[in-house]
Amino acid sequence: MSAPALELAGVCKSFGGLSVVHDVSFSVAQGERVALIGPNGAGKTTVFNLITGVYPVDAGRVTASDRRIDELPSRKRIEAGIARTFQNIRLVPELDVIDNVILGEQSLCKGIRPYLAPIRWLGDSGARAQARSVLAEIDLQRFDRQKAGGLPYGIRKQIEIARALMAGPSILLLDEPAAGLNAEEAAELSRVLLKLSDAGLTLLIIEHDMHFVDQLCDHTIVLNFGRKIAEGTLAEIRRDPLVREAYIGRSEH
Amino acid sequence: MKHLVSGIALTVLAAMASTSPASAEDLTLGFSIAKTGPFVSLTLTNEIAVDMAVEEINASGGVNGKKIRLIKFDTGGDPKQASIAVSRFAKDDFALGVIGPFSSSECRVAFPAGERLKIPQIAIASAAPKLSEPFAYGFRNSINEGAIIGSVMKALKEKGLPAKTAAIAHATDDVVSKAIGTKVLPPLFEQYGIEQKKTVTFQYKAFDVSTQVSQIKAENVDIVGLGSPPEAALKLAKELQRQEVDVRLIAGTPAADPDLPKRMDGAGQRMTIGATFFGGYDESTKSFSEAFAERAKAAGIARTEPNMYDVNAYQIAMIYAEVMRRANVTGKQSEVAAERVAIQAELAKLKDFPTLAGEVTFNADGDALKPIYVMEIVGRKWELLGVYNP
Amino acid sequence: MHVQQIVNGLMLGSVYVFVGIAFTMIIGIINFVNFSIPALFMLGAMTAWALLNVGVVAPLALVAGLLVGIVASMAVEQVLYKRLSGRDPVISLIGSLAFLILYEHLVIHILGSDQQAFPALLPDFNIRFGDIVVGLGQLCGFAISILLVFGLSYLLKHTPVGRNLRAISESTETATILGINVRRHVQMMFVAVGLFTALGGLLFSLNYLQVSALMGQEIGLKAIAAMIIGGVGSIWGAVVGGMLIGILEVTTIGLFGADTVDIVIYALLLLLLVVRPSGILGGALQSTQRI
Repeated sequence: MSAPALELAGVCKSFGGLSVVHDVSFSVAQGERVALIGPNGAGKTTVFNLITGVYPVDAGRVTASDRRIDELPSRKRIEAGIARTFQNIRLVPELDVIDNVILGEQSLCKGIRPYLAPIRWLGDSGARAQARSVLAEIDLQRFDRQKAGGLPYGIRKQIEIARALMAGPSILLLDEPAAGLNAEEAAELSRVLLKLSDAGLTLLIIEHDMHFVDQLCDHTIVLNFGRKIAEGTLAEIRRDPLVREAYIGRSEH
Repeated sequence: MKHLVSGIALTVLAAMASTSPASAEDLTLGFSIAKTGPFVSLTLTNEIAVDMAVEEINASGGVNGKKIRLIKFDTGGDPKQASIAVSRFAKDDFALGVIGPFSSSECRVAFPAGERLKIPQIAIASAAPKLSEPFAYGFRNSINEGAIIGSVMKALKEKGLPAKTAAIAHATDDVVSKAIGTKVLPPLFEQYGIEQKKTVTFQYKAFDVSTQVSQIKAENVDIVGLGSPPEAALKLAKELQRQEVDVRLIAGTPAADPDLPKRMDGAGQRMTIGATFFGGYDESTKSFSEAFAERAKAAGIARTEPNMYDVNAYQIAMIYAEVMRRANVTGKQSEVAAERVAIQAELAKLKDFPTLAGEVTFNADGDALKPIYVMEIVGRKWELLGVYNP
Repeated sequence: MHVQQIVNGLMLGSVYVFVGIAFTMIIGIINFVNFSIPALFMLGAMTAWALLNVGVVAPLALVAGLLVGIVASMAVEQVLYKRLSGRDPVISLIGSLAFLILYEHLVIHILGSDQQAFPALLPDFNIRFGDIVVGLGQLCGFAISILLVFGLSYLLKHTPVGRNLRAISESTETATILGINVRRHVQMMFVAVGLFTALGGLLFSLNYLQVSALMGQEIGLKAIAAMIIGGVGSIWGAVVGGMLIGILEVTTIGLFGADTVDIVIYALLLLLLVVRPSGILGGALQSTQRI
């Protein structure tokens, strides 16, 4: 059996004395589709931020395919095969869709060429072709020359996925990909993600939409107040008394 | 305050160290000198000229068989210090008279102080109108800008040089330059029947005067009256050359820099100014200039040509020697008050006293009347256009 | 004659454009008002002047001026970067002000505060079109500033580095997570700002033949005004603002005299802030042509 795509061991993080993530450990096997759920403020996005290097862990280790990454800067973690999307869409609105997608791949920016060569032309013709094929893969190629800022919400969410795919990741972290989508768009997104998964991509998904999780994920991890309180299939999780307690009194999802 | 006090103490010590020990036989003169401060480029060399005068007098037997002794006090161009200087000279040093102060702002406080102490002072460069009038003991060996530029106008008229229309260009942030532009030039132009077509202004540190020059160019005038320090005059002249404006600049003493033609480097041709000294006038001015240059070089000073203020300072020492001779002063401490009064009386009477660069007279206000040398830039040199007596 | 005055104004304006662009670039991309820029302008010129004064050949002295500008700019980045990426813009602003004063007084200490004459290195050559006179040096300065603007605008819009800079301008945090080496791009930008500002200082001294330790201040203030009038964060705004101030300055001198220039310029600036706070091009170019 090959090494897990991603493994967290005893990861802790606190901000100004407030412990946000405490002793969290889990692993995601190659090709697996894992959901990370929990009430608001449970520390889910913080876990993503720790994995991608937005801030350093206070304690614990993060490894990707047996390579320790928790001390690397963000761009090295991308090279190690980790890519992500954001809860709030973070595209550059005044850039074309295709340029936004190319931003996901930074190995281009070395040497003198990036300063002089026009992007539409010589500067990154290879990256351009790659970006087109990534967009084609998720059926977005028709938008490539439009400004990202003017597109509908659902499309922009998918452009973020395309941008993440641009780096050629082995694991993709999705932060609430179905939030704000209607049923039709969510089904479409689910189909796209399954297709990527079939092609061998590992997925770790933060999601509140349990229907979406049920359709897509084989394994679920539950966080509450920064601690992992349960792990297993969704059916197992639903029976877990700790999870029930965590969600009682809160809005039903 | 502590700084000020220790600064004064140091200056006093330095002054004492630099002079030979007091002897009852000496005739003591105070010298208010500015070795730093706003006019330092004009004042720094005054000391050389005064030293030269005193050495000459003492070498030729002194005055009434006694040597002149100089006490120097560095005012840094600061009026307060100039007033401290005069009271020290009068009360502590038993000086018979004071060479200096330099500027009008120093005179404004030093003259009243000297008047109360009844000690004569002769200012080196002050030219503000009527400043010495109320003071019997305040004299000024300098000429006002109106008389100087008036001589320039007279020279143009006599030589039949074109001067039908004129523009004025002056700096707004330098007191003397602004006064020339607003108070001195307009009435002179009117007096000489010159049509004044335009006034342009600039700031004395302005880097770009192309606009002002374009405006002058548009008026197509014969002369431009200039109220400006040398640096801005230089800038304006170069821009005039660049825009090919063919005019004669006329200016007063702020622009009277001996080195100006060299610094113009081909620009500013025929620029005409008036001053009370012209180095190349005769044998005596030439040999003075040479001796001065040697000393300036030895002292490591960049400008080796004497300016008109150096000459004013030299003349003041010579004037004191002459009036002390006429008043038969003895330099005795017991007589000092009476002898100052006698010196004042002789100064007030001074008429046509021949000295370096011409004859000096003090008028009823206590201001000097002496020849004005009108000169113009030809090539890289000042050339004499004429000498005008007041 | 009015044409000559407009020419004079444009030549003067191109000096403000150089410095205005430096300000606007750093504000546009990392939202930092870098007050050390006027000192970089001065350092380029004063270094060259000091070296020429001790007999160094002109090309070497000019290159040294550029290098000192670059190094001084990088030092600002080195010391203030952590503050820049942090939460408190006031600290970085004050820090850059400290750099301005430090650099100026270092130069005053070593070279004195007097205004100095810069030697005339360019031939005193003027081009004439009928009645209109344009100096060769001025024309070069003008041309270089326009080239610089086109170059920068091309770099930002059409090259991979420009795309990254625009991503950084949108959000440094996102850019970092996307793997863009933000620090390296910021360093590059400071190098460019040091280079261009020092170049502006050199062109200024070659044209106006005067330098002083405090020469950057007046020009820096007018450049900031130019940037605000044109629209903060917009390169073309800095160009429009700079040229406008140049022409305004010339016109004001013509109509009311030298003393009224600053009154007119800064009163207009305030008026514009009331009427159109985003500057002349600030609104029009909003998203597409901002940095």
